[in-house]
Amino acid sequence: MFDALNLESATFVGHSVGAMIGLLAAIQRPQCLSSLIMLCPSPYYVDEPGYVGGFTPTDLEELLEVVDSNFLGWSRATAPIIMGNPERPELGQALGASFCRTDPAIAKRFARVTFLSDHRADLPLCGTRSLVMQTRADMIAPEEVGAYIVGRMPNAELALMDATGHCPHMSAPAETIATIERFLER
Amino acid sequence: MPPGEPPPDTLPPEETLAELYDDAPCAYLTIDGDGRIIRANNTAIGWIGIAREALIGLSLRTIMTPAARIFFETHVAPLLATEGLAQQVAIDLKCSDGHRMPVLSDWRSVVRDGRTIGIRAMFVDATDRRAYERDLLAARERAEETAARLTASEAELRELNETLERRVAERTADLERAHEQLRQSQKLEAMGSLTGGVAHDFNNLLTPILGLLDTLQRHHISDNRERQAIAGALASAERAKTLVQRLLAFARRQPLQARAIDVGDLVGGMAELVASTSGPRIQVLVERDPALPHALADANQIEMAVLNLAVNARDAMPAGGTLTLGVYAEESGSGMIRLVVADTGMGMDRMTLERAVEPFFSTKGIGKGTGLGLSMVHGLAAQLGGNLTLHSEPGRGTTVELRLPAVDRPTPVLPAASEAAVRCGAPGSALLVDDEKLVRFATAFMLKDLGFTVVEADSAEAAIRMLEDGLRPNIVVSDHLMPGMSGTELAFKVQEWLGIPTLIVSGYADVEGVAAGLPRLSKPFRRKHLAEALERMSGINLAA
Repeated sequence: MFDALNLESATFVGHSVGAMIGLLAAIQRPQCLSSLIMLCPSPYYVDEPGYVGGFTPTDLEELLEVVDSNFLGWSRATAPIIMGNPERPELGQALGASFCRTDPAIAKRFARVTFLSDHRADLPLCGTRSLVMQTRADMIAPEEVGAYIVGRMPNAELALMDATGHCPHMSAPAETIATIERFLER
Repeated sequence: MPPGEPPPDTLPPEETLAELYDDAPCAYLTIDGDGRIIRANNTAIGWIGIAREALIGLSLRTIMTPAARIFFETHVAPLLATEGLAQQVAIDLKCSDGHRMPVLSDWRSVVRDGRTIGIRAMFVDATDRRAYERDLLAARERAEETAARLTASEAELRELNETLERRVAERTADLERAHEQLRQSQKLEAMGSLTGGVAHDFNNLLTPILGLLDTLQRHHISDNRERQAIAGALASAERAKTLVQRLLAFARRQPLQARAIDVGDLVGGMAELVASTSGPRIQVLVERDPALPHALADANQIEMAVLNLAVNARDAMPAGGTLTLGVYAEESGSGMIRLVVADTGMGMDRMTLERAVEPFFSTKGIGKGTGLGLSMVHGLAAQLGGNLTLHSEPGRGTTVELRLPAVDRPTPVLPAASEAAVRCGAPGSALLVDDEKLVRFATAFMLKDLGFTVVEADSAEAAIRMLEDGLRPNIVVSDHLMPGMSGTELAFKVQEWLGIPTLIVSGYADVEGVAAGLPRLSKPFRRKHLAEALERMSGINLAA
């Protein structure tokens, strides 16, 4: 995509898994990016001796099993948010009908890739100026992870936010924007 | 009743919040801004299984399964942030004893001054519900699978149907081909019948023509032109005779002398003749199986067949090639031997191949061949109890296979039926029996010319009457096919009764009709044939 858009000195903003994708891309094409903004990132989700990933190995087993048997969670009500268009509720309805259950094939794949990928070794390879935005009480990426990332990247700083949860861009958009702008202005 | 107290068995007018909250049928939790549980009702504590003192202060994630944690973060938290509530969320709680409890949850943000300071959650036990939903989903999946299988089956069936039509078409085509083959062989059969009948009649007509002309020729006619005229007429009659013979061969009605012969030796002996007929540009190969049984065949006719086939082969290779003559023992069980004439010539296309055996069908052009060769060989094969098959590929060559019944050992040559009647001296008298007046006239003429005195009878019955009346000829000459008693029957009677030999004259070579071993003469015949036959039969010398 970088090549297709002919980017040079761009700023990349990624959330969660998207942040890690940005990291890997920055390693491949350092000349395309001047800044890397990572929102609630995590290089590896599973606890190990000396590393807090947030999920125990048992958790992981259970998670993958649950995903295999097709049940993460189910709520028709969540559809409008995912569509991102509260003014057009009918879109949410339509999506809800097809989305109220996570698509099994996609969920399985995604869960496996996400939870079995370990990118800790890639962290030192990214020299791009980076911002790690960490929230409190994130049930997916615990606070220890933010510190870990910043400790291993050559050119990264940590911003600990007031917002809680894994999606501050949705739950606390103003703080999220402000934090990013502060970083970019410097 | 004491005043101020509610009557028994009725709800008190005031219910406390604790009463309403603590033992509600659902679980209530309050969570602070940092995600920690700060209040729980009794039902919640009972379900989760952690004592109140221990539960208060624990982070919400502790009582949530990994899946629920993810779902909360990705779906519930964003909704709470934008809408302030999230309803009917199905997740699983993690209880202290490790078991998973399916619940249906409702969440409300607690907001003060526009800021979210906490969340209140309600959980309803959804164990039954979840089990029911799972069953439904499984049933739906099964239904989808079945539908997919059904679609696949339908597709298969459709394809089967389509191929069925094609297969039926193929079968019908096969059937039609078989019908066509049957029609072809029936046609040949009919042609054979017709031809046989016509040929027989022709032979009868030719007998006086040939016989009388021949006899005339032997009379010394001084006028040169008259001699030439007779010679011309005779030559024409000869050609007619040959033609009729070939037709009879096709009709499988030629007179055959079938004996056990070594076909391998016979073909081997023809190699030189075939080579010289074929010319220098054609290489002639002769092969035979070492252990070759004898075959039941007429040696002369086989030689003629081989020559015919060799000529066809030669004509198919104008630029040269290889002609193979082979005699092989056939595969066990068939009881046949196989005579093969194969060439590497121009071959025949399918249409030509189908008609090749038809009499008068020829691709050689006017004047080159009668078109009777293959039909004769075909007739010969059938008459001998074998068959003829042709294989050909345009540009590659043709292989003709003649199968003949194998015999275990040579059949003994039957002794001449009338060795006892060796005579010498004058020919003597002959009793001539024939129902056809013209033929009888011609034969009588020829017999007289040979020195016999002739008494004529127009039927076997008449002949017997004459013999009963005391007639004692030296020989009897009789046509075979006559109304009433046949010549063969007459011959046996006369031989048995009076010991007089009979020469059977047959035009219609009904093999079963004329017993093997009886002296025989084929119509039409010339004087010398008659003389030879009579000599063979009775030992008298008619060389005059």
